Amino acid sequence: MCFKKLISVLLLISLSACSDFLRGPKWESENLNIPSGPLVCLQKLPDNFAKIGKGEAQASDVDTDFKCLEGALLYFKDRTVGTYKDGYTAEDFRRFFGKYFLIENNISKTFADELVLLKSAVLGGKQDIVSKEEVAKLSSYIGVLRKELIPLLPSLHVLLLEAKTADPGQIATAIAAFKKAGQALMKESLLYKSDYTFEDLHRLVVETSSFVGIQTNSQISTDFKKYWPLVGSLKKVLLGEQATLKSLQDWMNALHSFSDIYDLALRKHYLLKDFKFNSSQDVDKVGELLDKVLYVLNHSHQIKNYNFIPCQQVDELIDDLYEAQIINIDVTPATLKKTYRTILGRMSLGVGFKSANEVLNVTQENIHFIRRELSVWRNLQTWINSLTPDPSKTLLWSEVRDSFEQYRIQPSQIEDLQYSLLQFKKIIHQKRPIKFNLKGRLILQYDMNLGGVTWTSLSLSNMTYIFTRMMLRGYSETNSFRQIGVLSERELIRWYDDFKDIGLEMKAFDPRQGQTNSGSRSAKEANFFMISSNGDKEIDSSELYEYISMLFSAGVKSVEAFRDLAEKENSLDKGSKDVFGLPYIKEKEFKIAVSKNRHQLLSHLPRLVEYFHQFPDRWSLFYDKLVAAARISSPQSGRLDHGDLRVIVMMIHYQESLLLSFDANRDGSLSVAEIEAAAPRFLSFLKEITEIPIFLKSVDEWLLRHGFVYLVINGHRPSGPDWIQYVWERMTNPMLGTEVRVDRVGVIQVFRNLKDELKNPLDSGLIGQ
Amino acid sequence: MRSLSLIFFIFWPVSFVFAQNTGVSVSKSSKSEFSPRLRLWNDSFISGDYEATSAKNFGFLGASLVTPADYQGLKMDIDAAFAFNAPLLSYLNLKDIYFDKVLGNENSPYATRLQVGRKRSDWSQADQRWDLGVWEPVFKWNPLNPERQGLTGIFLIFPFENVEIEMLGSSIYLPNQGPSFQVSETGEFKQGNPWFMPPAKSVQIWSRTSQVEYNLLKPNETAVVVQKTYATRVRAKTDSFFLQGSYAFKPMNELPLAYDGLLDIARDRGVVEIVTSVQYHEVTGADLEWHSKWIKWGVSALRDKPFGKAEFSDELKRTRPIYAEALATSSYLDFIFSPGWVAKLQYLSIEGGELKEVGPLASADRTAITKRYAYTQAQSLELEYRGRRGLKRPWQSSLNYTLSTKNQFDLIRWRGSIQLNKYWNIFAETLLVKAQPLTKENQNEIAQFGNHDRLLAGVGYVF
Repeated sequence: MCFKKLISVLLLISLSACSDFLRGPKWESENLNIPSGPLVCLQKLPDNFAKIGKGEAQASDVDTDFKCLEGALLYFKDRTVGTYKDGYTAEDFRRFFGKYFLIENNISKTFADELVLLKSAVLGGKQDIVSKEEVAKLSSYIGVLRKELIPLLPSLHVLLLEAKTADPGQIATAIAAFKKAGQALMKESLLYKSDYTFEDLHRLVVETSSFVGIQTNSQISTDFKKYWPLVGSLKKVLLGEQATLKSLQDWMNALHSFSDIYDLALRKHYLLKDFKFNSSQDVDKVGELLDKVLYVLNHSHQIKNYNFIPCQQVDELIDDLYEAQIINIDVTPATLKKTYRTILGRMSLGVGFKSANEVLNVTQENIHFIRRELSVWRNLQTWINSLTPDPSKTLLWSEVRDSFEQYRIQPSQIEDLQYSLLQFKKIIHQKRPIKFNLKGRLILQYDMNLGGVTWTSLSLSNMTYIFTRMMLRGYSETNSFRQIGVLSERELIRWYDDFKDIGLEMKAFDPRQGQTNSGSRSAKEANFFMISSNGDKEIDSSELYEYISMLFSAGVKSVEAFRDLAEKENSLDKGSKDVFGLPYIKEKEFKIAVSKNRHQLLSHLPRLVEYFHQFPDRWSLFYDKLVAAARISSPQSGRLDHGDLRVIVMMIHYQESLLLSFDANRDGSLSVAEIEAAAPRFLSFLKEITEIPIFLKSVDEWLLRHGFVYLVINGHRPSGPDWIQYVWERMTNPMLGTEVRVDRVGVIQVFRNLKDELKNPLDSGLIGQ
Repeated sequence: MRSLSLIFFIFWPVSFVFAQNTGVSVSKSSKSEFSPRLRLWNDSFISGDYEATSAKNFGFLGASLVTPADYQGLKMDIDAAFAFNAPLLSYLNLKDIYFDKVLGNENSPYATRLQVGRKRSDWSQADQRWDLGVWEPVFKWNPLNPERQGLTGIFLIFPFENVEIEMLGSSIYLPNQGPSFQVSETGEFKQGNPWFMPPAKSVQIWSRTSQVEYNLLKPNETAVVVQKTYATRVRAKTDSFFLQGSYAFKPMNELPLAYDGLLDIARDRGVVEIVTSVQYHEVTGADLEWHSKWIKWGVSALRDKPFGKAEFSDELKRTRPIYAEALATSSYLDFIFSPGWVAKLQYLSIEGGELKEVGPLASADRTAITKRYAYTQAQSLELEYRGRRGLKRPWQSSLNYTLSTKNQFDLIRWRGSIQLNKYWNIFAETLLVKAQPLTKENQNEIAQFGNHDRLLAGVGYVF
């Protein structure tokens, strides 16, 4: 019984326990875990690299982040295996990144291929496989990058365009640090042994930008696509079409060139942003930038090795600049290309230049030419800057002269520069020197000290002087090493031919003149209407300097002021556009506006303002005759176009220049004696337009002088009988006309009559724009 | 498919089949001659949650060979079984196989004995009673019921009147024998042996899951097997008491495993490469036992002190185990309360013995892949009967209940057999296990078999 009970108890225990025992939780093997280890820190890298990209990272951040990357690479090498036992294909990297890091937007197959190709270039090895050893090398290379990046950090915000401002010193420091880092990285790489091409780099950059753009949802891809062609064009310009960089030194030179371009880009970004020509610092910035551009060109691979850069490559650069909308002017690329080639041709061939198509290269000679002129400009600017640090402070011209007398350039500087200073000295020692006011308008005064000058006006003079020099260098047949020559009418015609296209497209020339060459007219205007004009058919540096100054002052600055006034006084007919694409000016309203504001508008012509203040009743007549004389558009339209306005303003200035030259008694009008004194200047012109009978050839100058006086007094050229009568009266009555005065109204009348007689207002040969 | 002979070293099949024990018992009681026996049985997994293999029932044909205790010459206790349709479950268990020679006067109880081969000895009661596998290797074909095997070497036994000295010297090492397994061509463990719990099928790599592929590097077998073993024990005894001290310097019976994990990017697989080595340790034991006709009481302690460190190929990149010293203590009380009936009560506690991993993939949150102690605390009660009571024919039964409060499992094992006649017997076994999920603090080898409740029944024939 005992046994049975025991068995029963045991069975009972067993059965009651069964239900508990026969159920149980499902066993799950504990997962093996390959821990993220050093990869964990990678999660923070995008944010941290963004900080670096903004120039906000500290040295300790960079140290930590890059060490993370180094460690992660080594960990990756140790913890993964690729398609090959000891190596990874591009597809391996794609799979890896796609699964662990770039789950939503993996790198493209092309991008992966390009990265492996870059590896091959930088670290060596095969072009389609990254060996484990190379991964370790990459880690070491990132170590080098880390060490080089840390000293770069203080300048990184400047380099990455993240700084709000940067002065030239900061930019220089940043570029020096960049260059040093680049050299160190280059030395550690095998790039110089690789056959990595620019096209390879191009593909990499395209893929990188596309990838970064997708990752950051930014416009970076668009920006890269927009600007990258520029890099390619610049590379061609500096390194050549088929640049073969075979040695470390070649690559170092290329790096040097790239750093220089980077330097330029930074300078353009920081120094010319919101640029205003307001201070010596501003001008210095431009000077340094231009100097740098020339330095880069002169030290480029192409110039160093071949002494030239093919224009075709420069043309491509221009196309890309247009494409990227960096050049955004009303000039077609074709015209711009023709223009720069023309300038180059004039630089190197001077009068021997025939056609822009013949200019095939930018030569070292061209670069030296520009550097010389830049050097002249910068030297003179240095002197101007030394006069006063305050751009608006007014100086007496005598002070300017005295200062220039004491200015000495460094003995080491080029001999040519010494001569350039002598030429400038001639200009500022004119009896009535040309001076700009603060608004860029010419001050026409009898006394050189009246009106004064400022840093701004002197800087404009310097700029004008450089244009004058370059024009003479390019077109004068009489240049010598020490002396810049003079221009003839023929050479100005050439000049016009050279720049006609760009002038027309920029609306600097009146489009209505078509194929008409205005060079002849310009030659006459420079020869007759400048203070230094002598009518000798040759345009010397003073005449040309004054002419260019007047074109800038009157043709640009004063015209702007007139248009501003028209705008302000509601004198613009905004519903219609003239041939320049600008609104017409309503004639009646404009006259009222000009009359009301002539004191301010023409303040740089104090004698004129003073005259009409003295004789206000003459103003209306003067204005009417002026408009009638200048008008190109139809008088019945009741509107003035932009061409009309330019001629109006130029006529005012020419007239004031003539009065300044010949109104000896400063009474605001010309007496017969003063007109006779002016006559020699115009004799050569009068000879051209006047037929003198052969039997009177021996006294032609005498006759023409009287004819000129008649012209000025009566406002029109004398007919044969008029002439004879006037000459007879002058011979018989020496006192005839002593009371006659030709005031500003009269002078304008002469301009008008001459224009009418010569029919073609645009090519009258005397007045016009 | 590749079947790795290495497995015999790494997870060197182990285990214990109760039926075989049953057979031994029967033979002892019925035969005194050297006689083989055959068995045929069915093993069924009865838990509704069982899912280690698709099949739940396995048929076996087994054979065993046990020499009588007084047999001289080549002595053996060998058991083998062939599993129908489940080759991984087949096994060969060499518990003893040694040549026994009395040196000198064979009739003298104090004659020195020379034994050469594999032989189980009384090195430590704690090791024997709990099948710890510290002293002697264990057959862990069924890890819930390990069975000790003998050390292999040259044994010299010096019996004296109150002292017995046994010495062992060897240059051959056979580690624990675990359940068999297969790894496929694709590096996956095949589902074929319920007692082999494969490691994870997937691996977490940088927080993302990949399928895992195992690559077991075959070691130089000679280098593994040829290892030094020195052991000795000295027992002072009287009729009712013995005190024994023992010491061994030898390789640990469980092979240390080191591994390295890689991501095979091209195939998106985690590749886990496992290598093995040999870890030496010093084992010091002390046993004290008092016994009478009805009671046996004793305490046993052993100190397991790692010696040196296992050397692995490419050691620096491997994650490898580091052993801590352990002290295992056990007390026991066997009480014969009626003829044929024995009640056994015993307790085990292991202090120390932590196994942690060091290396690139080591993680404090994960259990080491190398095994050491199946559990570190347990108490068990066993009730055993041998006799004819009630059935008029020989039968035996044993019910064991093991409980661990620290390792949170309950294990009930029942086995029984009835001798039907001179040649035939029938036998059965039940195993019920209940275990709580593992935690960082609770690490053991039992929990993984929580659904391996089984029922076994068979018939045996003695030649």
